[in-house]
Amino acid sequence: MLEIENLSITSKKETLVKNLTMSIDSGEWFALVGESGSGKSLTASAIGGLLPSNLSIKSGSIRVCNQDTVNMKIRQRFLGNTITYIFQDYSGAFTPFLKIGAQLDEVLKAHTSWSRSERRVAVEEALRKVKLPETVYEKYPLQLSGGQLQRAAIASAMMLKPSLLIADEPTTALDALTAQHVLTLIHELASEAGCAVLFITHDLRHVKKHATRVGVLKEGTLVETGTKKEVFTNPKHPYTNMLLRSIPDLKSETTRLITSEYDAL
Amino acid sequence: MKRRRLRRKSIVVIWLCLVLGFIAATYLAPHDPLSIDPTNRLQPVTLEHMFGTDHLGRDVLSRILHGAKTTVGTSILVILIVLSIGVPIGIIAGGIGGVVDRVFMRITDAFMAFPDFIVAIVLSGLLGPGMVNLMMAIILVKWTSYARLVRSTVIEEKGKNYILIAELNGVPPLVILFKHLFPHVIGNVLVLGTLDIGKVILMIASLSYIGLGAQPPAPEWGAMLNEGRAYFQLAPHLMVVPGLAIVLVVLATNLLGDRLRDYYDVKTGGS
Amino acid sequence: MKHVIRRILELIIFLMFLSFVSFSFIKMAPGDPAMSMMKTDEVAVTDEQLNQLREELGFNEPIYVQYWKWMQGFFRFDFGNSYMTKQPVGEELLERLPATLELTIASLFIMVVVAFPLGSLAAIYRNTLLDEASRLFALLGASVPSFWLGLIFIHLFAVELNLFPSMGMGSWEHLFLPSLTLGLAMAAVYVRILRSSLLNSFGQEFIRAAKARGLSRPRVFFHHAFRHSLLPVITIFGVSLGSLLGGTVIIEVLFAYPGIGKLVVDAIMKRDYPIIQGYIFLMGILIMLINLAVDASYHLVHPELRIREVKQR
Repeated sequence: MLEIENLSITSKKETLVKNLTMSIDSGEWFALVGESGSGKSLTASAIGGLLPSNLSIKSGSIRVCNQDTVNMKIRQRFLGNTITYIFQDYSGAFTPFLKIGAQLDEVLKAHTSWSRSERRVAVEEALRKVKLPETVYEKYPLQLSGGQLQRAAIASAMMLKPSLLIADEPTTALDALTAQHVLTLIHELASEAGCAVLFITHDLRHVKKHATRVGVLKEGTLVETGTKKEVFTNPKHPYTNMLLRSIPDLKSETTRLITSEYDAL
Repeated sequence: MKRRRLRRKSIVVIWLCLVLGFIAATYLAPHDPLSIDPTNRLQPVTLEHMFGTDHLGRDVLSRILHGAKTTVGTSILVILIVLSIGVPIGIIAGGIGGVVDRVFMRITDAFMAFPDFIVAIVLSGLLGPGMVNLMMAIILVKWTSYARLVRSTVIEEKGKNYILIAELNGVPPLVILFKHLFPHVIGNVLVLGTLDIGKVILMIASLSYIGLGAQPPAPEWGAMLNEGRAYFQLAPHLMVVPGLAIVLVVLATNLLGDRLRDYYDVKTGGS
Repeated sequence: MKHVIRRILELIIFLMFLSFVSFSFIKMAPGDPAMSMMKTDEVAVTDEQLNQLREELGFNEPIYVQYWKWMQGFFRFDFGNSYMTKQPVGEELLERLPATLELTIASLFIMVVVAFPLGSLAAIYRNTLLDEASRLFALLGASVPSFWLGLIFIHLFAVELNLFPSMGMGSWEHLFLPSLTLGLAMAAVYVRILRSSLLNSFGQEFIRAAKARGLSRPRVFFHHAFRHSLLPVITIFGVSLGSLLGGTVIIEVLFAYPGIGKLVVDAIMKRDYPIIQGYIFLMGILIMLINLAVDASYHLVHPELRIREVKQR
């Protein structure tokens, strides 16, 4: 579904992503993990040609459904349709002065030749699928909560049954419970559509729960890839090991806190 | 701190050069700007009259140079008066705060509701046309933006730790004011002032052109354009020379003001 | 509703303030209005006549009675008759108002036609030659006095090429040169404002999201980015509309265009106080109306602002 080969992303001064090669099959949930600044979001942006204007793809190829998306024409045809995105910043997911319904409608208008009433039905269906009330159609973004906005963003992304969903830290800005709901929803809809998911995150707990395969990115280099089981039980790279050890374990955390308080007394 | 002092020095030097330059200009004039010579009307550019003569045979170069004193000199004077009104009021409002500050803000709000051009026109309408009345009108319009800038600078600096420490150490308020606050204030204000000179020059020239500012035969650039208008076809230099004088001087002050603002990163706010 | 009532109250207080200011200025003004009134007739003036006129105009009454009467007139838009034409001031002004509005609207049209495309292109192709050209245009616009630009246009288009009439009004050709002069001067300001506002919009997260949804470039630009950029433009527009009204005065005098600006300058020259007072009143109302219109257009461009305001209450 997605094949990236020897991808390098550079700014004027430095190379931010170095010779990255990876692939995702349809139906797979690929988690790309790493600390902030490791280049994971840049990789996600590069697939849809959404890199900031001061960065560029220096070399390598990106293919989605065996088509080269570095080519602008193909990319423009795929974006929002075959390749869709969900971003971290839910407050920036929709344009503030347009109603949610109108913005979803706009997506259908751009990618289908459906009539107005067909589009209306499809949007309402999409909203229902993400468990948002019908009234959301007539609401402005700031009238929705963070979780609701992220659901609307999912509706927009899954509406046209994409082949590749890129979820760029979709839960980082949400509270833990809402994050759980949002991820479960993505999981449901993605497996229903049978689409591949590229999941960008730094939270290994979510990876543990949802991913099928994992890639670890460190300073722009992919240091390790493998199935979730391989990476979690038998990490090859010391950096992966370090990441795994940094997962906060609720149980041991509590005991540690209690003991340190006890020490202080 | 060193940069601040350097910055203040450089702006003051630029200002002194401006003032001295325009005073010197009047001494460079080869002829009396007011002396009429009917035999030499509408002369083109010659060695004797480098910018030609106007419809009364007056030397245009001399009138331009004296006009610099009228137009630019007046604008600088206006800005200086505006500073001497706006800065103390701003310091008082920002320094004392409370009710005084609130009253101050209400008053400046009321002043700012009126567009400056309209106020200038209306005031010179009520007081009668003339340079002095025009100056008063501009001063009345402009002082608020300086007072506001000073007020916000004072309030911003007042909250900083070094002032608090000085206060705690028992430094008298007046010393704090002059030694610590004043330098910040005056730098910002001079940058805004430089940016404003161009606007005031344009205002004086425009209103003089429609007859509400300098009165003939005074050599003022806008008034010169008005006087020469009937003769543009015969003597195009009467249109070109005063106009270019305005454009070049305003362009220079605008460029200078922009540079100063960018370099020192002063927030001058909306104008 | 509350909002409307507050606005109306504000308007009344504002007009009281205006009436007080203009009254006190006239009282402080040098010269005798009765005298200047007689003078405009250009006949010899006797003391007897002067006194009679003063009595007629109520100048011999105590000052507070004068103010009370004056204020009543002020709120009825009744400023007496013009010294120059002997016509009621209200009629005189309203007769001239359409011409000024025509000029204002035509100038705004030219401003939009020049500034919006140029500002947009400067933002899209930033740091190119085109962007530099827009910078130069803005700098010149801030440095060239509009009346001189008008003089050049008159000389070029009316005198030398004889394409457009240089004065008067009546046809669109008459309107062209004055509104071009004023429109270009304004456009210079808005080109840069629109450019920086657009650059700010381009960096917004929701623009990236709109692109990621696969919307076409023009759609993203006009429907999302451009509309978002209009907010600061409108704000500054509201502030600078006043200076536009000031600008029309200069341009009307320059092109002998019979609007209220030309009227008031003539009145100032002749010390025709009733006209000047009427002008102050009219400008006060116009500025208030402009502020209302600017408020309304915020909500037109950003309907969600109303919801935000309700939320904050």
